[in-house]
Amino acid sequence: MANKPNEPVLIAGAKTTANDPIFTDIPSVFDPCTDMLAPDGKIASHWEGLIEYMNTLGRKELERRWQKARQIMHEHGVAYNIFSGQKKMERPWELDPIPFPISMKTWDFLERGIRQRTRLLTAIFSDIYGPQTLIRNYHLPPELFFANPRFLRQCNDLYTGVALKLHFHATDLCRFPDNQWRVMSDRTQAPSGAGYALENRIILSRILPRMFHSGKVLRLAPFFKFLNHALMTISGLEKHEPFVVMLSSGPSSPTYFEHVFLARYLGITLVESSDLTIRDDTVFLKTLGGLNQVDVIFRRIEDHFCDPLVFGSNSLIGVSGLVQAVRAGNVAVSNPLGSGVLETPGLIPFLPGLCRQLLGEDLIVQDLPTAWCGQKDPLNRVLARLGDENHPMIIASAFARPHLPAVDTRGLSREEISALAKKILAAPYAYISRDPISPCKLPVWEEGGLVNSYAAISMFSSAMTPAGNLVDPDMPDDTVRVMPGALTRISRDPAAFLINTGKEQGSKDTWCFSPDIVDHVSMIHTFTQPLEIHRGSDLPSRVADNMLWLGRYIERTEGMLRVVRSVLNRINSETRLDLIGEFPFLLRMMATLDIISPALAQPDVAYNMQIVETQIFRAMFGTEPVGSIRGSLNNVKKVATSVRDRLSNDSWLILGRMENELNRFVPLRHNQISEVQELVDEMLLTLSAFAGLAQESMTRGMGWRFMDMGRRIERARYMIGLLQRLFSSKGIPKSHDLEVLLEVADSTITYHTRYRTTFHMDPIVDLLLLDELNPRAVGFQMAALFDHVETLPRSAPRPFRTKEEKRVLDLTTQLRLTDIGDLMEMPPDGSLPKLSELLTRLNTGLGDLTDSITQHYLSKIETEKQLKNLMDDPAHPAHLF
Amino acid sequence: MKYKISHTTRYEYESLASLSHNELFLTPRNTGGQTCTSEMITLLPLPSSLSRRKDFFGNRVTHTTIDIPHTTLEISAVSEIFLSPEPVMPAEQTPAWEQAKDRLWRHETPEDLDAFQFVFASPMIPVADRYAQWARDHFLPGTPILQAALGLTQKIFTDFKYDPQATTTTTPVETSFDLKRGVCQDFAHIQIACLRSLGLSARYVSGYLHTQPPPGKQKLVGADASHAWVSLYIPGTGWIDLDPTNNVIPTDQHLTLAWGRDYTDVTPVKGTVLGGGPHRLNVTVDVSTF
Repeated sequence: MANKPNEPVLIAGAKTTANDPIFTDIPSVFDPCTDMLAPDGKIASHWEGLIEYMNTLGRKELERRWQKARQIMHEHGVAYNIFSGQKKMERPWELDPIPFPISMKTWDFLERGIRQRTRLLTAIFSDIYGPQTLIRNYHLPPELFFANPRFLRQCNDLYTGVALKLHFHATDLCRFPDNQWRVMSDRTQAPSGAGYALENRIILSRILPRMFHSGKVLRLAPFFKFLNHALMTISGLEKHEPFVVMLSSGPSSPTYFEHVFLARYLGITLVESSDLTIRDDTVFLKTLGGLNQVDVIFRRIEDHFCDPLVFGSNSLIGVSGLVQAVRAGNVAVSNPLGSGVLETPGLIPFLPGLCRQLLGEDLIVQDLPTAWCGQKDPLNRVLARLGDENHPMIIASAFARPHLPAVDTRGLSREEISALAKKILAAPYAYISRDPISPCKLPVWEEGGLVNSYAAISMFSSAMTPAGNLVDPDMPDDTVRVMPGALTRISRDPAAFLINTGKEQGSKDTWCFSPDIVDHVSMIHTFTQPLEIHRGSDLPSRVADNMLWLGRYIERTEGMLRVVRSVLNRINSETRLDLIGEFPFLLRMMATLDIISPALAQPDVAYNMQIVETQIFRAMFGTEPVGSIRGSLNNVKKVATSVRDRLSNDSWLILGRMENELNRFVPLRHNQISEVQELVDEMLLTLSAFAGLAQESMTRGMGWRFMDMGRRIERARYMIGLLQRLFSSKGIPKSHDLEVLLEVADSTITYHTRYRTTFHMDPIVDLLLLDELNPRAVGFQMAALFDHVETLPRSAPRPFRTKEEKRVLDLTTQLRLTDIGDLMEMPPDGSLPKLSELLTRLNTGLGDLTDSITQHYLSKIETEKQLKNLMDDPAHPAHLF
Repeated sequence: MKYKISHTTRYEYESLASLSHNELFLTPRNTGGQTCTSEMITLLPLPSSLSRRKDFFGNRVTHTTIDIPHTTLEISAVSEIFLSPEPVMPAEQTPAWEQAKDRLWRHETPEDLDAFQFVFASPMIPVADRYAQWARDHFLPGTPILQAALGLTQKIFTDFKYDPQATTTTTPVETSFDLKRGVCQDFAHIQIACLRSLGLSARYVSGYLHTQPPPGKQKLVGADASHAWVSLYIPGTGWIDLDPTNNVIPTDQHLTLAWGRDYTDVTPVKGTVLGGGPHRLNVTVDVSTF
């Protein structure tokens, strides 16, 4: 992406400052707590390289590159945001090109602090879901747990004899003008953000590659490698190669992009709850080949959604029986179930004491001063200050319940203040109070220049359970690793960091430095024993189903576009419509594909140009799921989204591009039908690029097979439909109808190279129906389906063929045994009974084949529901004496 | 007094169900006055796995999985109980409710600390000033706690109408409180909401009620039902049960299954099922003496 000729060459001592430097007048422009200047007034070493580099680029060049980056992000952005109709689903991710460098000294402090914090929270966790001595000995007020909806009593006996670890912990901090870092919150269930940090780094290194060539910016990969180790060794299950899955709530999750991204990066199978099933207190992944036992679940969903049976969450994103499976010791969940209790803000005032008590250490990184109203003095102070304009406060839940959002007392009316006071008095232990914050500001690139914006960072850490069978000489035992970098978030309104205002502006890449040159680290592990070779894949049934439909929808879209293109070719020609002999047949084909209503395929209507154009526009831009290109593309995107992690980035970009082509198109006037033709041509090209990618770069695993089966089934039915339509009227078809059929079927050239004559019925039927070499012919599709069905997994080798094998064999044989002369025998009435019978049989046979594949391989996809409870019975009898 | 309870839950599915997970709170616990002398839970079809444990509150829970295709599921629990009611302290001799509350909030003894967890809002029971206000006319300053609580029990019994059509198991307390209608579960939840909103500790008890047939008639099998009531904690004394549905202090007719913060903690039969389509539910409970 970077423009190489413009890349400044950094030679020691030779500074080639651009004539429009970015960082100027540092002492007066930037917030002193950025640490940009060392005490001696020179540029601090951790900013030096960055500022020098930026200044050699200059404003214009940075802006030019930044536009490129935005384009990359936009292309990805399209990819992350699928249901474009719903605004809230859009990925609000913006990356700032100026990274945030953290000095080695600060980093050392933060790293020690976060490491300690992960250990501290782990120790609290073990006690709360274990002996509860902290409560019994009055080190912690019991209200913080007894009244806390995140304290899950169902987990109390899950962890006896287990070394509990927080495998993935996020800490959100700010730096303040007094040069102190303070923690605002911990996220301990399924924290998001690390994947975004990784993505920021990748994008930044693409547009500003030389910045990283100094080699002293610490890489993020080793942290994820550690996290992977932590997950593999989590359960104490003495497995050589435990099966780890990432449990996502699916494309409706706002952070689904990150789930896909992280699952790929970590090499973990991404699953949704419907992919999993629990038998005998053991978790299995439902795959085409049967059930595969799952050892570790890296969950991306919150505690109380994980098991609808136990937590009664009525949600479909969890797995019933999961808690029991954990209790039985057959699966490990990360972070451990119940860890949400550690996010309790009410704990904050007690952390310094707990740290001394549990770890025998002083707390290294302090928290934002927090008053817990469950204590008398803080409560009285909060009540006294409520409504005092000079003492604004942020009042928030002590338990961080999402439905109790934080409020800023500024801007509350008198009535609202007294209502708030009443609520606090009714349950003081449920509230905390904090002062509004004004953290340090960082320079942010905006409209070709730098402005200062408030910043907060999210740091990520991982604790590993010792033991396990992974060997890596660099890996210290039982330690906590901190990601050497962070997700820096920026906002013009600092309240956004405490209250979810949705006003956060974006993020920055965050740099930590090594005194030495950093080695390259790859994500491939070292194992003590040789790995089993996996070939083919354990494809989840749900994914196979979606791949099948992806193939079908793509083919369907292409089929529609082909007919539309042929129609447009004729509309945009110089000939009057009523003089085009094949036009009625084209309209009938459109009707077959539901693009226009059958009534419009009558000749008298068809010649009305206005109506035809209106129909074409509707077919292109209407949103009906059937019979419109846009609707059809929506179907493609919907299924593609749920198999996002199975598609290559390129395939994904192609799908996004196609949608863009359609959305960008704004017909100015109604008669701009020629532009529609260009659009259709473009879309057909894009579709063939997708097909080409599938052919050339998708592994021939089950996912590919199911997608290709979908494509073959759909294409065969399409061709059968066109042939049926051609021969629906009696007599020998007109030459121009035969010609347009070849055009729609993309077989004109093949015909000409073979026959070099005008159009005749028999060779055309042979070419489109029986030929196994023409990739558009029904015969070709059958041969391909035969090949696919043969290779589908079976539970055990059986002497008999499966149902779907028999069906596809039957259909292929029928076609192979057909003699074209015999087939085209025409009785005096001008009908073609044998041909139409064969077409009908093929059509029904294909339907049956699809059904039996579905039954055999895909029927495991059922959804779970809650049983009606005893007392739901309206006939609940009375108990009156 | 010896009781035999048989409690049968039967689900009928319209189509084949392939997998079913259940969590059952159907085993009576042992309490001060109650001993469970025998108990058995059977499922048809036979479960592929069945395990038992004690939950956080000391209730006995059974987890089952059925993984063969089935169209009916029958869960039957049969238990025998020996009941020897403990004498109830005269209401006027209990401490003033404010004193009880202060002591509870200091939670200096293990018992007080354990009871303290039942002071707060729980998944189905809110804590709010309106419930405290509504109960206030019985909780006048200095009123002995049990006397005040009995007044509240009476008030719910009089002000609320028993109406099985008005609510379901998921009706929020706010709604049944406004409707002034409901069943035992609603009344128990409302009384607990009042007690907790006053700062007192109260828990939800799930169990059965032994009913007498009308004079001269034979008792119908299955006429009984599962029942729910309230237990109030009095520091220094312990837990005392109150039944707002019948305006009584349970003695020798109430059989305890389990207790928790509210219905969600001790739902007798909970389950999820894969497939099955629409289903019908039939529950019969029979309590007899022997």
